[in-house]
Amino acid sequence: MTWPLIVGLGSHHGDDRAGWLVLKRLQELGYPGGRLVTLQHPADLLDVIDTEQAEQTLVICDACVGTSQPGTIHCFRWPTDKLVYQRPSGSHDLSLGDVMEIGRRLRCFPEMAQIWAVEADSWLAGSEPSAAVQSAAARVADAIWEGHHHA
Amino acid sequence: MSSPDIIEVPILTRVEGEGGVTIRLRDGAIENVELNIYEPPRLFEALLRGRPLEDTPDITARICGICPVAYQMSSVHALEAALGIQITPAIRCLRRLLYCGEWIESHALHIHLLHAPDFFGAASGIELAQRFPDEIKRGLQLKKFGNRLLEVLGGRAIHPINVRVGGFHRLPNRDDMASLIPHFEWGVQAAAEVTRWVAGFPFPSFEQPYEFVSLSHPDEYPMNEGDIVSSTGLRIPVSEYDQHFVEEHVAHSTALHAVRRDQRTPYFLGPLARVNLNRDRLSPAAQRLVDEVGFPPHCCNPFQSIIARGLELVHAYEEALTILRDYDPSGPAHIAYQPQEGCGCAATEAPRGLLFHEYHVDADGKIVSGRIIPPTSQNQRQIERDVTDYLTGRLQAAASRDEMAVDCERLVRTYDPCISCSTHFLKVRWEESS
Repeated sequence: MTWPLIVGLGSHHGDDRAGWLVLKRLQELGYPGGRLVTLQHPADLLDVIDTEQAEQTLVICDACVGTSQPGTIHCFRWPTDKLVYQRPSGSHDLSLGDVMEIGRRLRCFPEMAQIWAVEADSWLAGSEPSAAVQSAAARVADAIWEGHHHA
Repeated sequence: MSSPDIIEVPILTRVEGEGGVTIRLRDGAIENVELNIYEPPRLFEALLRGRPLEDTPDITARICGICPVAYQMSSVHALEAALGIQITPAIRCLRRLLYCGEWIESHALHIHLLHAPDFFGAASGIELAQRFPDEIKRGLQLKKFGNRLLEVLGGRAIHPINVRVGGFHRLPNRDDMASLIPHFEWGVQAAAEVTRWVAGFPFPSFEQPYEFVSLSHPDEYPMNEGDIVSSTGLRIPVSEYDQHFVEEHVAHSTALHAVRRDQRTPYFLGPLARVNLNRDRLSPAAQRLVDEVGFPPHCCNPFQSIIARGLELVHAYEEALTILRDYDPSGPAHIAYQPQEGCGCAATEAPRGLLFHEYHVDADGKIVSGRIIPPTSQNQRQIERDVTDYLTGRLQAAASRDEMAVDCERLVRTYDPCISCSTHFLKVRWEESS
């Protein structure tokens, strides 16, 4: 069985932990730890994905900020869907969309990627994630797990 | 007298920091160029006052996400001068290694994603990646190993946490250091290929009678130590910096402009200055490349700074490889010291040029005052003069306003400016008389 590489983007700060929580739940479900990668910045993706993995499926889990209720789950299919979601970032950061585009042009990213984004509320430094986001992250993990087992 | 005609030009990207350029034309000629730095003052020197001197390297590192090591190195050297601390040769060597990591990640980033697109009419590194996927991929790999070195030696790639006054908090594991060696063996060759690639770029014809300034050390390519030298024959210890250079406030910038004290003239810092003034101390592979690519003995074309950056990329990989192979973690990680009242200064070579720090410390080891003069503030006046001279030539060649705006952006980017050492964008604004 081929386990897709799953990347959780985020930080230790509040709901920004959503992507990491998805990975934690997946590991509890039995997903192999070697196929789960936690990162802080989208640009770090360029370090973990290389040509050898170009044919593999990539799943990215992240937090986002928008107009929906905290805990709302979005699922995008890249590059078919435009990555319209926003997340707080520094002025030096490359967006996930930019990184995916660089990876595509360098032909070192998979042709398709699935991106899950959980609508976040609190980004307070060092704070715990909200209950809504914790619940949503678990639902995302379950959906990925189920989807993989029924694929 | 005619009044100025104002022209707005869109935002310039791929420049680190937030600022703008105003170009005033009167009666068809360029009257004045101003590099506007409008970021609010960062006030780092004030933030340091009253704090334990041990906080200084980690606080000043936060000035920049691209060159934090430079701020750490200048600060610890200056504080060690104030306290009379002598570090061991092994610690000195590891500091050079850390600096190699920073030069690698900074130069690889600037060459491939910020500067190279200019030579192919590409709007971004992303666009360039479509045309040169192998070259950009190689550049990202080169940057990655620079970051990896910073992680191993500095604790993390951005804002390393292992630097302290007197040395390091802990010495890296021998196996971790050894694991980098194959990557750096590859890196020496790959960086040489990068230099060959950029040396073939089409460079605009533009040379100026610059005064180049950098550190210079008799035995090694300058990073952490040396005298301050210039292409006009100046050679002074760093402690005499204020006798020869001065910062001036200008109305259009929140960053001070540095000029030569007596002549009030600008000067040029960075890789091109370092290579011009120290080329015989480049590593063997870099020196061979200097000859192979025909780099001029005293290059005065700022657009060719990208070649100098490539040569330094080779140098940094080769020197890092030597240090990694010889690494012996048996010595002390740092030198113990007692706080004492004192004053000290130091300059090191940040990727963008000479970075000067000076500190006064009280008997309790608290910072009384600090002063930081980053390379980009020293290059600002030279950038303004370059834009004036270059665009004057382009005007005479009947270049369009749009073409000149692009030219202006490209010329500013050759300096790899880290505006107020925090990056983002530069707006160009034109004013022209009718």
